[in-house]
Amino acid sequence: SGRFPAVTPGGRGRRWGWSLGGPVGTALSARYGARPVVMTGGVFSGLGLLLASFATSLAHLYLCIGLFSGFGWALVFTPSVASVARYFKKRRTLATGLAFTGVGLSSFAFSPLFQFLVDTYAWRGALMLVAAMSFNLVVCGALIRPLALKEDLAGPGCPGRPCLEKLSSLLGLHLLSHWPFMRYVFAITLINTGYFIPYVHLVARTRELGFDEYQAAFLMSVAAVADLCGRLFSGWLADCGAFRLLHILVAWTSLTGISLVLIPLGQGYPLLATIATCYGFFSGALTPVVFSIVPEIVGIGNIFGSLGLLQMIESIGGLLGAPLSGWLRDTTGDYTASFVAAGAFLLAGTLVLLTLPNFSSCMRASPVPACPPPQPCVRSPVPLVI
Amino acid sequence: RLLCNLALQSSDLTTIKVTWKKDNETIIANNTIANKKENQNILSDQHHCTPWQGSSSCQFQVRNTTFKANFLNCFCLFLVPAVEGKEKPIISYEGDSVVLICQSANYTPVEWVWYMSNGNAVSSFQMNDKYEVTGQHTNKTKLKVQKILEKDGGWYHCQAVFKLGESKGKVNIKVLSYMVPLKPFFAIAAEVVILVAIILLYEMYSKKKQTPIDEKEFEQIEQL
Repeated sequence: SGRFPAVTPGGRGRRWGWSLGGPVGTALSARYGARPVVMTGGVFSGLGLLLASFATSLAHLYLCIGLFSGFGWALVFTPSVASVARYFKKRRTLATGLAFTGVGLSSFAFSPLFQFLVDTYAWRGALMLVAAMSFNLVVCGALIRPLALKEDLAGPGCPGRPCLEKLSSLLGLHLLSHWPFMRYVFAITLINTGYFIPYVHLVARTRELGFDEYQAAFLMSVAAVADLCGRLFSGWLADCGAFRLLHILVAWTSLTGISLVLIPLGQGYPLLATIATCYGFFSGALTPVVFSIVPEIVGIGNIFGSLGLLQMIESIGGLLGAPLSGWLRDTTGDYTASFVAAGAFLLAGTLVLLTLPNFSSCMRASPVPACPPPQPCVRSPVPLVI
Repeated sequence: RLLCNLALQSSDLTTIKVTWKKDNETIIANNTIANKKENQNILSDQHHCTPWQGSSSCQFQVRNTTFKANFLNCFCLFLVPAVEGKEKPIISYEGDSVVLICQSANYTPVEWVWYMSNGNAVSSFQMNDKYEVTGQHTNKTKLKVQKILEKDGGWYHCQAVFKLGESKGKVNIKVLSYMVPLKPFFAIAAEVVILVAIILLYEMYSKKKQTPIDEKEFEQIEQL
């Protein structure tokens, strides 16, 4: 999922644009389809970076990159994930996992590329060219062919439905009373609180133990490669059909939590590297399952609204996690407490996952129906086709 | 530091006189103190070093005998602190202001001199609106160039003048015009537009071919 490193320009503005963009993006996608929303998001994100390249003050920079581009990225991300879930039924998790490998691959490819751009064109020119590259998101959006599923029936094409009801159904607000889904969202929020900590603090922890910057950077690269492998492996495993998605998710989250708790024990470089690799693998493994399990809980018809809500609420966890762990580090003097806290959050989220319905059954669950959508109109509903 | 060593059998040291001469001029005369005595070696050293190059001699007078040693081609080595400029060129765009920084570690020079070299010509700066130098007497100096133009690009040299010598550093500026990044920007933007057009046109074209089949699909969905 959108794992941006914590140290990017835009800071809090980016998080606001990102959080608000999620539900807006999914609401618009439910109404107009994913394609126009993703293409618009691509334009926004490129435009934000382009305007930022002309910035004359820090506030200007934050606004452009953070709000504008952050909003654009959110418009791109959630509808794209929802589209993957809609397109694939049998191999949903593998498809999601494959889609998310893009994040890992691009970090590898773009780090040296960005360095080259800054060295050749200075930061203004580099931002300009990155903006141009972001416009390629419009191309990606164009490739998302509209799809009509039979679950998309409760379309807003019905006249006679009050405006507010239409809006709330688009935003997925009726899901707020869907208890299994809200428990799931709570679990994912807890998991998100702990998930990002290593990305922020692992390098610092490595330096704290006395290793140099190259060793620390290498550790992060190793974790990133493991992350990539984890995503693919988990996708393949989930679609094998041997285990239920919920059980798989619980396994990955608990293993990630345990490896986070073990990180402070890694005093020597080989041990630390091993634990970091394990963390990378397990955290990558849980990512595609987090998103592909949603249709099992709320049904594919509600995919847009549910993902929008999930993304908005889980980002609160991300917002709180890093400063909390930073505060822990400042009060206790080293990173042990913050890693243990992160692991604890993950394990707490795992415990909440255990409360989801049909946990102990071995059969593949059918989705617990959401509260019935508002009464269909008298006339036959117009399917959502663009 | 110049060191003279005389090996003696006798241990009568009180009457030894040492004379140091530099280029036949006496600098220390009849200095009866020998600096060190080790196993009947008498050592005398001189570290009287101002900027100087040339030959020098030391002379031991023991009772009635004179021993002389010549140092040929001595020179004084002064270590001046290195001045740190910047190896990587600073990229800036026309119209921007650029600040060039030179540092001389922990030693504060007497003053800094900035100049620019274009080929072989060396020119120093008129202190007008365009150039501003700060930190003349600290260990970090800054040259601010405002409204930079393309012809202002090149190597800038900062020279730190110390009491004992001088040390130089250099900084390179590359000035680009806005057209330089704009060209690849437009190229990529054009590529995006072309690809999107191709995708949408292809889809419209294949949809036209498939229209009869689509209508059948709609009927099936409505029946559900």
